[in-house]
Amino acid sequence: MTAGRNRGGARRAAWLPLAPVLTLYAIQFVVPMALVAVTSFRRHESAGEMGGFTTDNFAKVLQDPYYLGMLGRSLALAGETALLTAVLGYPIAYALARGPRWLKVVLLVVVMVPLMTSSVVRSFGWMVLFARDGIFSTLAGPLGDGPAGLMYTSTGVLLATAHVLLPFMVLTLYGVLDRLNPTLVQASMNLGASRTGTFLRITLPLSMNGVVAGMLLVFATATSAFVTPQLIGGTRYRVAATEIYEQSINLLNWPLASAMAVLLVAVALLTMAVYTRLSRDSGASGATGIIG
Amino acid sequence: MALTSGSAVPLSGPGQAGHRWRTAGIGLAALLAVGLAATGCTSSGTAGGGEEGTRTLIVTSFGGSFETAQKEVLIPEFEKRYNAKVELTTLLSAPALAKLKAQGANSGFDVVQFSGGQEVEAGTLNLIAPVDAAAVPNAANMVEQAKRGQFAPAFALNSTGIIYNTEKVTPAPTSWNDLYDAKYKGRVGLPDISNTSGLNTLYMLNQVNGGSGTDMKPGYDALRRLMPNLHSVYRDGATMTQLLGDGTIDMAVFDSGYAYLLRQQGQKVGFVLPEDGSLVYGLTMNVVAGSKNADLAQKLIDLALEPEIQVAFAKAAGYVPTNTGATLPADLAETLPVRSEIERLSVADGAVVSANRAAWTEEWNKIVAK
Repeated sequence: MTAGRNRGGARRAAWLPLAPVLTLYAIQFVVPMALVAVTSFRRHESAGEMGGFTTDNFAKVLQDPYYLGMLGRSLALAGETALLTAVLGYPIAYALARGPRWLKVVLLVVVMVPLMTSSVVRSFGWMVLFARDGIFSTLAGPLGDGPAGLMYTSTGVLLATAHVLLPFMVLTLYGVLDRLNPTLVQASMNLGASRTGTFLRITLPLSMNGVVAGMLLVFATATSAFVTPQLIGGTRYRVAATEIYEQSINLLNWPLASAMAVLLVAVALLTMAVYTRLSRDSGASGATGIIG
Repeated sequence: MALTSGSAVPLSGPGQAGHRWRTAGIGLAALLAVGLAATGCTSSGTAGGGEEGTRTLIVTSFGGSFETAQKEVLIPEFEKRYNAKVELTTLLSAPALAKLKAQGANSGFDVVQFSGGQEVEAGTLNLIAPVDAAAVPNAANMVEQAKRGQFAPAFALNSTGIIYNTEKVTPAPTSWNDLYDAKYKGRVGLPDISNTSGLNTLYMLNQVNGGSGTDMKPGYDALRRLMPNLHSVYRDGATMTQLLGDGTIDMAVFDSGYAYLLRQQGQKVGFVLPEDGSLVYGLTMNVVAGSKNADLAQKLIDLALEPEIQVAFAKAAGYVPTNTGATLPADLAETLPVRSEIERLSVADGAVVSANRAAWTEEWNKIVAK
């Protein structure tokens, strides 16, 4: 009995240091999101004017091919970004975990720099490379063949988004690969497996949790990407996040913008739920220290 | 920060995973901060203290060369004359109206500037206050196109036309139809409809092709026909400048003010107000309803309407003065679209625009989206 009460007290005490950040979180996130959720059910009367409650906004977003297409495009972009970062990020994370120390330093700096750079500056860099005569548009062949090269195209937005989200993937994978028990690899080699065989049958399967976790993290972040699509996609390649801005700031259609926001947040929450579930379930494998 | 964390990570043991996340977290936070700033959603600063007796006026401005010109020409003179301080907050017209609608006087602004006729809507909704004729004596000497009834008149006029590369576009364009010339396939730029020039473009394409405020189909069709020639749809003048400046596009629809600036910078561009008509629009400063500094705000507006200030502003930013007493020096009158030329232009019907902006925007976006 006494022990139980003590544990309860200790648990309460453990929450105490979290109080400031939870308060901040409530004010900065929970309350505004609740307001957005309520707004999404209001009727749009005219710019900036709202009436009674309705589900019209969701009906419009989910039925008008234009808005539905935009949500689909956001999710497709997020999915493609997740895949691309996994493909690009795995070798980097592998080199980070297994390579010599100088290589680790170099790679980490290279991978982390996009996170430390202003997204505006980074996007402007891409804009130069993506221009009609820019190096990427030339290399991309028919993909970059439009009048504006890779600018305002899905390929351009995908590359630029993957660039900035790559660190999330690499860091997640690095944590997993770094923690893999090296004796498993040695055992495999001792038993006569080739390097490739060992990688395919030992390392890769054991790190799949990391790949999935990294992809979910990148996916959830990419659905809400704003600055990169705004600058690279411009006015002609629109995604849900840029459309929410357009609707709320330029057209003052707050209910419609809120409905789109609610749907995006729902997708992100769902993704994070799967992510948390996966990292909890795989806790025993010892591969998810960085995730759990 | 980046280097320290970056080089520290490889040395860290398994127990320090949190460190890596912190690093990522800091980067993410920085990213978000930059992202928010880039959207122009910067919150207004609260009235800075200053010494006793000095009042601070919070004014929205459009950034870029426009803001620079105001900081050079208007603000110092105002601060000196009225022993006050002006704090400029960069906010474009549409977000400024959005903020006023959401927060009213709580937005913290004393004066908001509009360039897209938003004062009509703001006035109808009582978000801006009428000006007192006695407090703004210069308002009595305004050209017709600048007048806004009981609200503050426009302090400058701007017009939408075609900016073109004089080396590549010959003969010079004279009409909206010249944008369709097959020679310029993929080399024409348009402003986005969220920009006043973009809205004016749709308005004019519609009018030239026989449409009206209630029938926009001719305008939409005209825009659709223009797509093969279209390189891009830019949101702002800076992007337009870049595209035109590096030779990516040959013709760009934008405003006369920017054309003036490009020529000031020595770029080989010309500007034409199409002979089949175009639109002139005013730049206005408006007193926010409920502002505690309304008296001071009206003094700022009056100063912006003063002939000498208007001429200096025209020289710095390329907009046409609205005070009938403002006389431009000969060299300026040549490079600016002169008032006689502007007088033939029409003004968009503010009520029609504000009632239809959303519908027009949706259709425009559907057409230009890939």
